[in-house]
Amino acid sequence: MKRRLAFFLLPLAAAASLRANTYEIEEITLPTAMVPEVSGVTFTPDGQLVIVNRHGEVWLTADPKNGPWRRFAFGLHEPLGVFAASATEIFVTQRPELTRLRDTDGDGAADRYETINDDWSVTDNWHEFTFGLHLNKEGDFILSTGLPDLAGPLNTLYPRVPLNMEKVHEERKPSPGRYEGWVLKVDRDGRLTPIASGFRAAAGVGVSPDGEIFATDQQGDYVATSTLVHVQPGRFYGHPASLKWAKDYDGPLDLPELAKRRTPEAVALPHGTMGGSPGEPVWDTTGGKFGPFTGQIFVGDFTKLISRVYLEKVAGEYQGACFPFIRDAVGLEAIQANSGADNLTIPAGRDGLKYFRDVPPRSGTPLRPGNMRMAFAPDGSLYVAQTTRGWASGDGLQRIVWSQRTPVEIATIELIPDGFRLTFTTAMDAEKLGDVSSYRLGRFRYLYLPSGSPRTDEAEVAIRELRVAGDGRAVELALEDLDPGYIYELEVDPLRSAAGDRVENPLAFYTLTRLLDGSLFTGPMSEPLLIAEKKTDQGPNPENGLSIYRTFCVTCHQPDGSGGALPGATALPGTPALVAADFTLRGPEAPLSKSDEELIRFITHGSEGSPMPPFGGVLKPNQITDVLAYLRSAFGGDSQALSPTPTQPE
Amino acid sequence: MNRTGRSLLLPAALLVALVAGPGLSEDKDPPTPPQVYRTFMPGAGPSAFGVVLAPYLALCYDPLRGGVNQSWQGTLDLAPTLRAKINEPATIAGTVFYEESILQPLRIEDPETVPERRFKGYRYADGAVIFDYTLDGVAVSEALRITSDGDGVERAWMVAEGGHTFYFLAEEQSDAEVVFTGGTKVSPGLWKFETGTDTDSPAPFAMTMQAKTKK
Ligand code: HEC
Repeated sequence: MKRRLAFFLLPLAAAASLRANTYEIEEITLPTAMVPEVSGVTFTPDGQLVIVNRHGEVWLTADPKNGPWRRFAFGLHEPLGVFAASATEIFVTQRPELTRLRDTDGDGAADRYETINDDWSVTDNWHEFTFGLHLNKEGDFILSTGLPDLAGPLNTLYPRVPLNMEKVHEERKPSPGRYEGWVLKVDRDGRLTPIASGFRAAAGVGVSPDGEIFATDQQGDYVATSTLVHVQPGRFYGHPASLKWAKDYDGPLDLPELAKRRTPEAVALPHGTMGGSPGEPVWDTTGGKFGPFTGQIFVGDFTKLISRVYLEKVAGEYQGACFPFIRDAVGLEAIQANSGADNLTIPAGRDGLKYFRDVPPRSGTPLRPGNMRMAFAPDGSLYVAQTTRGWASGDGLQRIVWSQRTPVEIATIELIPDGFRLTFTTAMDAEKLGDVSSYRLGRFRYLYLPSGSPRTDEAEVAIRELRVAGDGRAVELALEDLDPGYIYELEVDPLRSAAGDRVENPLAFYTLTRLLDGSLFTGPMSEPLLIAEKKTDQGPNPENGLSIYRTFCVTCHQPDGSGGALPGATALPGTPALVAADFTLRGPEAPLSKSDEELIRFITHGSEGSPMPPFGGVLKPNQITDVLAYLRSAFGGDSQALSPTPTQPE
Repeated sequence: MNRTGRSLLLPAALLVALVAGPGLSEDKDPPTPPQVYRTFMPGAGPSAFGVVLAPYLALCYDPLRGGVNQSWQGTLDLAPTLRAKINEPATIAGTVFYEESILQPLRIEDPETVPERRFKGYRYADGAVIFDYTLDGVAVSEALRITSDGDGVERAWMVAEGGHTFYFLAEEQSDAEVVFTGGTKVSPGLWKFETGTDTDSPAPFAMTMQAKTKK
């Protein structure tokens, strides 16, 4: 399999490099003396690039392309946020404190490391982080703290503020140190004010151009999927461990009471599909230098993904949509190696692999994992700081540059009274825009539970009517079921631009917390509404097949089964047909007209000289029959039904 | 410290050079000590300091307990703090000759009362690292550097505000020679110094710690 995959990938890479992307990724060469675990990036007011790394250093350069770099500070304790007031006055969040670094003797290196605030307590635990760092409208510093994990030791010696070791709720991650699990504010006089609680590990905080505070939180206990939340004073966002540090704390609450107190996220980032561990949100304030997404939010993720968020205010609160923006291939072998493991190159956890959808490799420089910090440069390019320690490999600094060609994308999704309005970055093929079969729409919920939650109440949603705008740049989807409390998932693979190009990221999720009239979900937050049907027969399961298909097959065969040329394949003459089978074909030549035995043999062993990989070593025999059952149910039409007791592949 | 002794310790010195990376700019020499690393230190409170005063002399400064937890002939290995998801404390790579464990050994006005101590940061000046903090609201600076003969640790306290009496609770050391200056001995293990009412240049209360067995 390795041999044949390499055979397939080599010509692909060669051909692909001829094609330009709408966004190119460039490598920033870091000083050799610096360990490239880049954990923070910002710019000074006069445009110098400033980065920090997990080893505790701050480095600066006026010229990221050619250097030279200068080490401004060292010996900091895992700085994960940086704000540069100037090239001689830089602020960092370290584990135990917010620190001001000053170069007072003009030698280019900080000689003063001043504690601005340390009013929270830490315990040296591995999952305890202090994140940051941005200014709000008033010029206060905004930062956040993560909860420790009992899988590692806690240092309870000489705490800065007495610890509270009590585990009051059913929580896997406790909050022994004051203000662990909070978003915090430190004013210019060094006074700390806790802003909001309920965070599990708010690894990214950000402030919008209007001065509003947002944070991302990480999927796990009580946080069913990763989120982007609008942080408002006094609110509680779901993980109860941090509640005991609230001024008005009056004892543990039960789950329904917690659910009542919880402010929902602005946007859910569905686990698996939209990554697994989001970092810092940044706003496109480039005024068009970065393409057609001015005002939108970009969120880096630990997986090889940067996503894009469009927010709107509905009944006074933010909600909206998220889209993949740049994602890169993980590859069959990495998927197989990481299946189920706690390794976030692909998202871990129950829903991680199930909803993970690999993509073809990008041409040019690939995106690394570990995209936890980002900042827009004065020239409008997006700098991405990457650190992966212990969870994956790949560290460094890249930047993303718009190549001045408009990407074909869904620019925005807005809520309308009977559904959603999609607006595109460019004029679209109006006929496809008006065709219901161009859309796959579904919805689901996450439950609010101590254990976290997989997707529940999943269902398809029917489109009642399509209203295409005259200029072909927008379409309204009127839906059969439009209910608050659901995340709507939309796939638009068949859509094409007027010029005939595919949508680059034909996937979106809208977090429908409220309807336009402000109405909210009224059902139970911690129980499913639909009772899952118990599977009694032991036959092939097309549902499992779907998740296998999404993980292993879509890259080449497409979500709609239409297959087609593998990316970049046509450029190389003399190579075997790099065309994935089209499952929607009918007739005697159609792939799905073959017998189960033949197809199982093909999927198990692949075919000599063809890029179709043999899956016998990756998938179990019952998984192969599951995926075949899915092919037949989704694309087979009236083709031969799968026999109830298929021949097991040898 | 004789030359042979120093060169024997060089491999250990490389440890910190490796984890620290070279110095102030890409093409300058490695920084001259002291170097301060905030990290996980064994036996200290969370986020303490590993201080490398010279390639052969280091100490742990605990801003929460309040002082020099230990000093050793050798260096500091930060690798355990940096390599994995679940971190471990740094390694004291050398022989400890000085240890301290009393909570806030520096007291203000009353030797029996543990003062409220707030850490304020640190700075590099005149070959020393100076830790700044307040004790019951009074600003104190504590400078650490190698002794002029390069052999031990010199530690001096500076208080700008006059009219205060400070006490230092000194612990018995079996492996170190400790010499106090600028204060008065109240009783065995208890030293006292006062900050003048005329505060232009208060005489610093200082101590030196030197290993009895030279490496
Ligand atoms: C690397 C790209 C790639 C991936 C990934 C891939 N396929 Fe294919 N597949 C192909 C190509 C190319 C062909 C056409 C092969 C040929 O004509 O020899 C093909 C053909 C097929 C056929 C048609 C066989 C026939 O006899 O006509 C089936 C069925 C099939 N693939 C199933 C799968 C399934 C199931 C998966 C996922 C578990 C998968 N493929 C993953 C590239 C791929």
